[in-house]
Amino acid sequence: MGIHTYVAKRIALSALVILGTITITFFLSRMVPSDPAALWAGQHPTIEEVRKARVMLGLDQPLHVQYFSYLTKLMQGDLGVSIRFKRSILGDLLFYLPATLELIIAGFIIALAIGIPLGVISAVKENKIIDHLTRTVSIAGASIPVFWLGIVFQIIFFGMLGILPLTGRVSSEILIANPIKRITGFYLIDSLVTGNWAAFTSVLVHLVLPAITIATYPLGLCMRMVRASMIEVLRENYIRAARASGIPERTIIFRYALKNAIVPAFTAIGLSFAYSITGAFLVEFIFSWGGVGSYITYAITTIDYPVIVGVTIFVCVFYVAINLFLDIFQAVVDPRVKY
Amino acid sequence: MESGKSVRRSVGRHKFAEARIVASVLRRDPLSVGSLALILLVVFIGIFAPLIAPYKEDILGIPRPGFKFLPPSLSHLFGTDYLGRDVFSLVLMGARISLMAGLLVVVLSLLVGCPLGVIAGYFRGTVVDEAIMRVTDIFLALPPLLLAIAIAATLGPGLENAMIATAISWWPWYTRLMRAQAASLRERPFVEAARGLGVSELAIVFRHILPNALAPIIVQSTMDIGSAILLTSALSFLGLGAQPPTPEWGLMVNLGRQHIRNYWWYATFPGLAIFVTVMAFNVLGDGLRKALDPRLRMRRAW
Repeated sequence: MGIHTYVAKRIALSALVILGTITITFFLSRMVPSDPAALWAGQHPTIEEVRKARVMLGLDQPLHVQYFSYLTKLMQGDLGVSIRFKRSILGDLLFYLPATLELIIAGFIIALAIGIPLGVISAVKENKIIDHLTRTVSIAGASIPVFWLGIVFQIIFFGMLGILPLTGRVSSEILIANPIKRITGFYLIDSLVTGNWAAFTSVLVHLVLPAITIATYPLGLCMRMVRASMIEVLRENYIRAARASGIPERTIIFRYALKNAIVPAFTAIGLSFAYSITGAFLVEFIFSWGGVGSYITYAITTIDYPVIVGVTIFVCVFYVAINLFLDIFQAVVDPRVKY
Repeated sequence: MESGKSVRRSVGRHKFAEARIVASVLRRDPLSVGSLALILLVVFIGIFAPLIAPYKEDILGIPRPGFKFLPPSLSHLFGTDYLGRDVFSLVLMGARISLMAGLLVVVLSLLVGCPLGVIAGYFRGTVVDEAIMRVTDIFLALPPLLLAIAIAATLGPGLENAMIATAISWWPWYTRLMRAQAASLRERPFVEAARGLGVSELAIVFRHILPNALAPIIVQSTMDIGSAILLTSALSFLGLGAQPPTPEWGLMVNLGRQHIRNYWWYATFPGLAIFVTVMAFNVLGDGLRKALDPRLRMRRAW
């Protein structure tokens, strides 16, 4: 199979996944016990108001008609309207997305900065104490409830030590004196390019705990993947040849081995980045972050069903797109990949 | 009946092999033994919680107004909660709830996933196989928490619904595992023998292949209970699972969250219980998986 067929097949599968998710959530949303039209009409609606809402929302149509009009709207990027806020869900999502991306990118950088070196050390010292230690840490990363870890951090660093803020993206007092001009929605970038140092520092300080919390899972995974792939590479003949020719061990490990080991680990690590967007649901809830996660958790508490479905589809597309990109990237970069 | 005998022998050897691998892992890896012991302890606590809990009436959710938010002490190891209940007793009782939830999620997923997987594997390459596997692809391509949230939100809050939601996003793993097992088993002599004896296809699939494929999958799925606990507790934390005053760990973390400024213990200990339990399952699973199939990665809830 050539690379073009492979790419075409992967794209088709991705489309199928997205269509499947849309179909599942559509039929789920029609199973909701509460009447969406009644919810839409507000508190204590009259029968006439509910009927009007039903017609307006198209809920009086046959199911298959509803399904296809829903699909058509989605194709045009229309995710529907929030019951609670009566606003376009896509608009809201795009507003909240930068906050979430800022958080998960920061977490991912932490994960890579710690995970890759630890994975390398673990592989070099295979089956030594340090290796067992990193293995345990990486399993812990997959076992720890992030929603609890964030709270423990809050208890320690806010409650006991008082050195880091409890919630939010920036301190409100600082925001009043030095408002951040919204350019990209990434507070760090926006405050940096406008030279708003007071806000920049505050944003950075607020980012520490949520970013570390969300980093735990990708960190463990990154460590694990780098370790496994490094162990394999270190057994190769060219490494033995390099050793025999007296190249310093440090150069061998970081210049010759790691470069080759990182590519196979790349997909899994990249996937863990995509995964952290659902981790962000929980982390944002704890830290009142005001991103996509806060948006959906608020929708859960207020039973704003269109928002829950909208975010689900949005995150699904985001996740599948990253997945697709990683697979194609891998196939292009690494000729050893079999497809 | 020569063929009957060989059928029995090959079946026997297969099951024995699983048990031997598990035993050999346990013999070599002290960490796995430790985590197995921990799991057994949690199971013991889960079964006997109402008997060993120091404050048995607190489990029922009866408030004790004079005892609100007492810090950890000898009489209340983990302190007391907003109703004056002993958090230690609640955490012990939570072991039962979480273990049951994890176990039921896995069993439910097995009940759906295994039959589909065995059919797909036996009819490998046919339309049936394609159809089943494309549906599993949809589920496997998404983070489980995402679908579970959408489904749980539809079904309405409640622990049973959270478990159903988790199982719906979970079963395809077993379909895939089962398919691989079934596809390799169908080439085995005992299946051929059964076919030669004129056993119907349906009987071959469900009476001969399914029971033989089950052993490795059950070993795998036992280890998944940890991740299932993590996922259902996350749903409870978000308010989609157990409702107060149920002493469910994830829910208790959420309730405790509102009081962390002054009463750190209420959120800390139930969460620690989740961590320790899930960790024990994952450490044991990691050891076993390395022995059974090094290609399998650890499952993750979100």
